[in-house]
Amino acid sequence: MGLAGLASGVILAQNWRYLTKEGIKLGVRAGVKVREVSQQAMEDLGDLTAEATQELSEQEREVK
Amino acid sequence: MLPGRVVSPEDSSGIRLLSATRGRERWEVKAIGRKPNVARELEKALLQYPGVLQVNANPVSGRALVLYAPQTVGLHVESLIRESLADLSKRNLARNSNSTNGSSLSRIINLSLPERKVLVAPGLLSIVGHAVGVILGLCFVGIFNTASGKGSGFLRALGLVSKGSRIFFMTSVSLLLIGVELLTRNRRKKAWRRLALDAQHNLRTELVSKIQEQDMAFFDNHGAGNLIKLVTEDTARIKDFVERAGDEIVELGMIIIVYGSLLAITSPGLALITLLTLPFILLSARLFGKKAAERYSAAAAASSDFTQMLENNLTGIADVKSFTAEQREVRRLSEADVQLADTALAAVSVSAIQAQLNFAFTNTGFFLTAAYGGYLATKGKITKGQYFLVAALFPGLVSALKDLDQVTGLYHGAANSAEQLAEVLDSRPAIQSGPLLSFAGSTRGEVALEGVSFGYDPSVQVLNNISLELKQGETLGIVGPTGSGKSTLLKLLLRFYDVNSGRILLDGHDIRQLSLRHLRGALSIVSQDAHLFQGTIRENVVYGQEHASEEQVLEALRDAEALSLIETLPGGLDAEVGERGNRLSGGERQRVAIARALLKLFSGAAILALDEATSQLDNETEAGIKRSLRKAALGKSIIIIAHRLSTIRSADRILVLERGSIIEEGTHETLLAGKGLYASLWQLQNEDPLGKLEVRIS
Repeated sequence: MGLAGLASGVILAQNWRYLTKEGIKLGVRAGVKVREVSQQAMEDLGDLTAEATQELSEQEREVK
Repeated sequence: MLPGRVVSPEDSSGIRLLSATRGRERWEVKAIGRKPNVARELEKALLQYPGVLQVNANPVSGRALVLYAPQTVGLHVESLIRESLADLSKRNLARNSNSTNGSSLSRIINLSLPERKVLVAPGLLSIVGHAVGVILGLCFVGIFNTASGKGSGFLRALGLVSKGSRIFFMTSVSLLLIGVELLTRNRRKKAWRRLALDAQHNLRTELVSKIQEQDMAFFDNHGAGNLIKLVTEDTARIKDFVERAGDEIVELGMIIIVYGSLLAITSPGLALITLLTLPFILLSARLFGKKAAERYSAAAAASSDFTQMLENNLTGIADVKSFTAEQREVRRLSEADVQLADTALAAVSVSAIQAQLNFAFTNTGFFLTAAYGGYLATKGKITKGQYFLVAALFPGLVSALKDLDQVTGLYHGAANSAEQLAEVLDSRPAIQSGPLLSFAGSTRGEVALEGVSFGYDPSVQVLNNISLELKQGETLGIVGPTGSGKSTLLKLLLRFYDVNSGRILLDGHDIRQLSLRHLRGALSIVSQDAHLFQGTIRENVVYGQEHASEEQVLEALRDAEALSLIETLPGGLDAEVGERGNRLSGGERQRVAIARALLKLFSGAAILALDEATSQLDNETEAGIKRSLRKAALGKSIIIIAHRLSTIRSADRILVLERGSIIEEGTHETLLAGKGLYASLWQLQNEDPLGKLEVRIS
């Protein structure tokens, strides 16, 4: 167990730059994905509003 | 999903309809995702089309919103997006026209394996498998060192004090690793094979789909044999490369990293000597790479010629036999095969020379390293154990490099195939579908040609300034000597080729503005050499109309005078017709083809075109079909091309073509009265069996 801890410590010490960089990349990627999904959600709302408006106006026309 | 919300399935081109209301459509367009430049270009391109009011292509969401004037007739947003993307892709290709073989290969591999995650499983298996191999090598060195009195301090620290226990431990670890290697080897090979087969499948699907959408000029330029070779042989080369290269690269990478690091730690001087040969290896790759590309290209051309020749031979086998030319054909094919073998050998020999040189360089490196290592060991600058480590590890590196040489051969072949595949995948048909999907009302079938001129080779005109009109429900007969341009007229109407000048209208719309699917769906044609597909009679009749009922199929066969055919053939409707319908006679093939065309007519086609469709039928059968047609094609426009004038005698109007120009026009009676070419032909066919009359055919 101690040996494993020591080995992990050595690996971490030797690779902290790489690991930090990968962590930053992961964060940036997650941010981009969040931006994409939220943008898509906004657009979906716009689409649904347009569809609902059209359906309402069609229904009103039918009633008249 | 809410009512009214439209979500279409995504297709291979990566566009999908997400929402559609009147004058407003939102599309998912994968090509613009995270590509602001492409999104901007798409916006500009779409705004060029009349009726499009506003476009918002968002690279963040990968979607495009198109607002258009809803009253615009025939505006089809999907076609506009596809067309614009195709244009953009063409422009990008033009920019990248200086791409090398290598970049073609990486493009083709990216295309065949669009998702990187599929590489994870085989990659991990390779890492595990080859890591085990590397550790085994280190265990072997460890056992030797322990036996010769040295030993790992690490093992001592684990409590393995005696030499025997350390050797036992390392042997046990080695045996365990051998077991792991055996277990993973098969899975690793299978994983890479599966990945390669998936890549081949994706590539073939993309290629076949690209070939299907090409225009006829493409098929005129590329022979069938060449295209078959591309789909079978060249995609298989890419598959072989993917299957071998990934695994080899992982192996070599691990060996170089592990052994190279050990070498550098043991003695930097030794590591430098090992690297001395590297520039020579790189130089040989550069020198021979170019040569190999040329040779592989020549081999590919020879292979294409051979496939083409074989395809010609097999499709014309009846003529080969009737002219007793079997021996000549065997000789020709044998010569082509020898040529193919020679060029393939020449290509392989370049790769082989490169491989031999690389082997020589690496071996030289080994001996230099061994000699210098021995010198350092005798001087006491490195221990004998370290010297043995270097000497023992080096063959592993050499072996990996030898394997890489085989991959080099595969790479050259795959790079050449990739270039040829890229050429076809990048080619864009000159005949593009128009934006008009449908127009008010159903297709009436009114055709007009206005000053149409055309030549397959623009310098040799086949049709000169042709103008004609076909009204709804009218039957138009076209006659003329061979080569007068009769069949070409139909090819132009189907937009197999575009006119050089003039225009063709269907129901008043220039056919270049119509969607190809709509245009060709409006025409039902039986060509001169009716082609039947391998399969049953039923499959051939319902070809393109798969939802037709049994009653409709039987009705079409009855109208085509082909009902007796299914009554006599064992299996009836499900009787196999053989390859190209070769189990049927010429007349039987024609009748099945007519039934197929009639079924399309029943399904809504507005025009029936028969190009020498009854030439192989006897007069009685032909008369029966004509009677049926009057009923079946009631209200439809009909074009009949025939040499046998009795076939078109009852047409509402007859055109006589000579050398690509209309020289006579009228009904049968008026043309006979005119005493021109038509009258001469009629007389020759009906009244002058001895051929005393001189017919003006030049």
